[in-house]
Amino acid sequence: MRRWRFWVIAAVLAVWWWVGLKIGYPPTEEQLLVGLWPVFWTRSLCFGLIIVSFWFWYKIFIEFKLSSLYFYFVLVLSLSPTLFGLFWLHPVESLKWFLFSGIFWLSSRWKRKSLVLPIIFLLAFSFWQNKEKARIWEIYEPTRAKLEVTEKFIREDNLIEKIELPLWWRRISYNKISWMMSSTLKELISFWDLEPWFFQEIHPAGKKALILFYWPGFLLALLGLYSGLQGKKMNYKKMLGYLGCLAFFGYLFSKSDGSLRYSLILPFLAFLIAEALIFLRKSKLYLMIFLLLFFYGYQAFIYDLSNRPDYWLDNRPLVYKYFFETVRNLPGKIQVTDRVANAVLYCQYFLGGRCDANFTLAGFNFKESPPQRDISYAGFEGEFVGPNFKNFFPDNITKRLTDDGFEVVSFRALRDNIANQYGFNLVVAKLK
Amino acid sequence: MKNILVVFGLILILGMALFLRGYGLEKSPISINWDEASLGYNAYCLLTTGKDEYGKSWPLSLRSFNDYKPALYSVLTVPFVKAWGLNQNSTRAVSAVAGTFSVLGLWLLLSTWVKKPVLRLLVLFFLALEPWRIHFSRTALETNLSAAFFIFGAWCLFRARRDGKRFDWKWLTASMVPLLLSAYSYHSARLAAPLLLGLVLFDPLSWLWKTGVVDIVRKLPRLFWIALFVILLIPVFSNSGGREVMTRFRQENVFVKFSPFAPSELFENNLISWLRISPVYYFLGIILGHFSAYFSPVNFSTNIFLWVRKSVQYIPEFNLFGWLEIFFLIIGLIILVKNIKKFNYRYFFYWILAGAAPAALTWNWFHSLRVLNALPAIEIIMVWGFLFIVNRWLKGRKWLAILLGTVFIWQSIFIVNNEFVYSVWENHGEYQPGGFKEGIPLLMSMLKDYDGVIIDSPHAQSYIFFLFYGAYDPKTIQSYAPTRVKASDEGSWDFDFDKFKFRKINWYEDNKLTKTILWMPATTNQDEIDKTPNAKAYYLKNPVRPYNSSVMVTLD
Repeated sequence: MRRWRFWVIAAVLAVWWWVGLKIGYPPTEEQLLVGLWPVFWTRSLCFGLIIVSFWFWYKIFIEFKLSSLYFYFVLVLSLSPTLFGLFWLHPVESLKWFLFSGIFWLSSRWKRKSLVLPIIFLLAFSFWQNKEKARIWEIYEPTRAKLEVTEKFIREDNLIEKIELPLWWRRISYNKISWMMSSTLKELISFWDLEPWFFQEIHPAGKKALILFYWPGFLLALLGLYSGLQGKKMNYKKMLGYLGCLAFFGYLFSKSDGSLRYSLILPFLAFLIAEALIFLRKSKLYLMIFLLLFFYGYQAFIYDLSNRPDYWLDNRPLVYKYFFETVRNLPGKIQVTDRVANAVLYCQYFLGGRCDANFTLAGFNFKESPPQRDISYAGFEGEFVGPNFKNFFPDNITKRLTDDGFEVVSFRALRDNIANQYGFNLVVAKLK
Repeated sequence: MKNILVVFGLILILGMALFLRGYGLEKSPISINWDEASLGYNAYCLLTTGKDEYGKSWPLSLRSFNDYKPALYSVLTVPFVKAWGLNQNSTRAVSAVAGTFSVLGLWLLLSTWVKKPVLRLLVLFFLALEPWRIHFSRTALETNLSAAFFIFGAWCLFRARRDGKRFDWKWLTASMVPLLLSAYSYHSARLAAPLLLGLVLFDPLSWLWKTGVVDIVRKLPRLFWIALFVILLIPVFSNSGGREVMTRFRQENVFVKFSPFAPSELFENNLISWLRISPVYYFLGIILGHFSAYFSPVNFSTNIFLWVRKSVQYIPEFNLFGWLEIFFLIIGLIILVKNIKKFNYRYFFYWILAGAAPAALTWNWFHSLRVLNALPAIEIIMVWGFLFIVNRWLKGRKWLAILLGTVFIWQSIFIVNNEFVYSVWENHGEYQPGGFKEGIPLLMSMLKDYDGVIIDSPHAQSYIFFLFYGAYDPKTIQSYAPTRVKASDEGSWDFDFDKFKFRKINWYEDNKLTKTILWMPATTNQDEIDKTPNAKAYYLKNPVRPYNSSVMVTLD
């Protein structure tokens, strides 16, 4: 690779690293499970895994005789916010990405490049990662199928006025096999969603996820597909097919939410976009326009992320950082909720040796069991005043708690509702 | 002989299509929604007085709820109301017929792509069973009528330049008639039709690989066709006032809803903001995103947005297309990208673009009703995918063909059950309010013995149900036109007429009235009613679930 190309990619990644340091986001539970050392080291390790995976991809491109695409491929990958999310917040996903890249490289070295090994890996990793099963396997639980089918029959039978269809007709429509079949088809279809692929920046559905690619990537991917399908570019088509299949299986076998579930589509889309950029080299004007738009998306997102990290990232680490930094100097016994994550890990991470027998790390509900006078409580507003299934709580929660006899030590409003039925606001309080 | 069999097969499919669209319209969907009621009642007004409910003689747009619905649907409904009276069947009949008619248009389109007649019949059979085709044809929807005309217009336009040859002006002229009818039937086509004309006449995608400016200048006289179309559309706007006809667009457009386009929390109207998070960048993204949503396979199937649920466009389980077809769509889209330089393929891209434009310019990310005109083009793309599979994988593999056929048949059975029966359970309620159909005939039979009726209903513009199910005298209603709520006014579109008053009922105050009927939510305490000596309650059962929708109390 020419030296300037190396420096471009290094610069893009360095900017991500700088953004990460700037926003200073607390560790995720996943990062704490790796180890309770400073999260910087976990992030560095994950970053290393990603860098090594780029080397695997270099080898893969050589095996497929497509090395001319490699620079743009890695450049486009590096610009993706989801890749940043992998090494900054999700060590297990980083490991998956690293191992997947390595195994795909190994399998690409065989003469008959086979998908079997990477698919077996994805399957095995899925079982290892998901203590519970991935969504696709949930479909094949007979008890669930029976429940769903019965529900449908009950609903139809309860209709007071209806068109009567013969029972055999309805039996064909609803039975365990047909339910499994339709659910499988629905799960397979759910992958083909352009919105999270390219339009997370502006998509109104409001699902919490990082951007996979900025919207100009959509036009580039189309162009890449068009360009790649012309003529007899057998290697290109083969690799595109492989990446597409692996992205699909990666999605199916994953239980993650949001952009993480699509993490293996990154190489597929980056490959298409890289081909488009190569194609556009014939017309420097178009190439400049698209690169400009793509980099504009990159800088706009960086600005956005720097100013609103809680909008884009999981809010749970913020909760525990706030709780433990607030209760650090409080005297006496303290109870911190564990309603949204493993509070023990966070307690040990933020307080180290001070996380002792004075701490109770469990959720509470004062509507069911009253608070004790000698304990300071840190939790969601719903834990103090009782849960509400619509997340509807008094506007002035601190006044309400004061009226209820609490002394509110600290209060913070959260952007997202992460504790369903327990509200948006975090409270640290004790009885007067 | 073979031709006769094909024609016979086609007639059978059309017969089946009509049956699936026209059977049991009183039971599924079980209640009428306010827009259907308005279309039906205006047809009744036109039949009996030659004027709409506001007293306007044969209008091109119905003022209705100040949303200025295109009037063609109601006009075509007149003969059905004459024949069967004012009811759900007669109101929905035009949509059922239009939906069947549209299947014929699809047959014509398929002729270019599926050469073998038997295979074409098979493809048509399954496409005629698409969830969207059945669902939207069983509800009185102007957009369904519009889509039926649009498919014929689009077919003529395709014939006008099939294989990228020189324009055949006869076909181009012929396309104007159905496209205009489509535009007179629903708002979307007023943008989609001229846009499709423009895209086909100027073929802008081809500019990317052909010579530029000179070619475009040479094509400028073709603007005549678009100008002609627009001129022929002017009566729609002049008849009811352009501003009023555009009411819906003014309420829903993307420019108003998403302003300032960039993240509003971060955007400040200064140079730094314009450089760092330019609204132009986000606006282009929003527009591209809105268009791309109509190429995103998941949106046609499992991705059901919040605004779709509990609305007339909600098809439980499916959204728009069958599950299997989505996989053909994915393959078809790849075929489209590969062959975009060929006009026969590019044409369908233009069709979707034009059909999606009216929806893409509104705030919703994906809106089924507004994109109905484009759905036949999506179906043709699915057919490309299907043919690819047939040619590549199914030849010589009978077992695979039988397996695929079996799954298709199962899916078709599921679709019919879903639309006829299950949808009733899912869709009843918010937009198909219960109680009116059951209670209004009873109320009308008692009306002569009472001096007034007070209605307290949570449903918007509930007055229309009383007009519809009561087949209320149009002349009486027309006499109230000058005093009715205008588009610029705030609040409910309900209005008091004759003995009917629409307001909140306070039981403890209103139970003192005499010779009055109260129509209230069923939540009113029954014991309280029983305690009132001159009151008698009639509980109006919900037609779907075992609870009461409303209660009617007579105060003697």
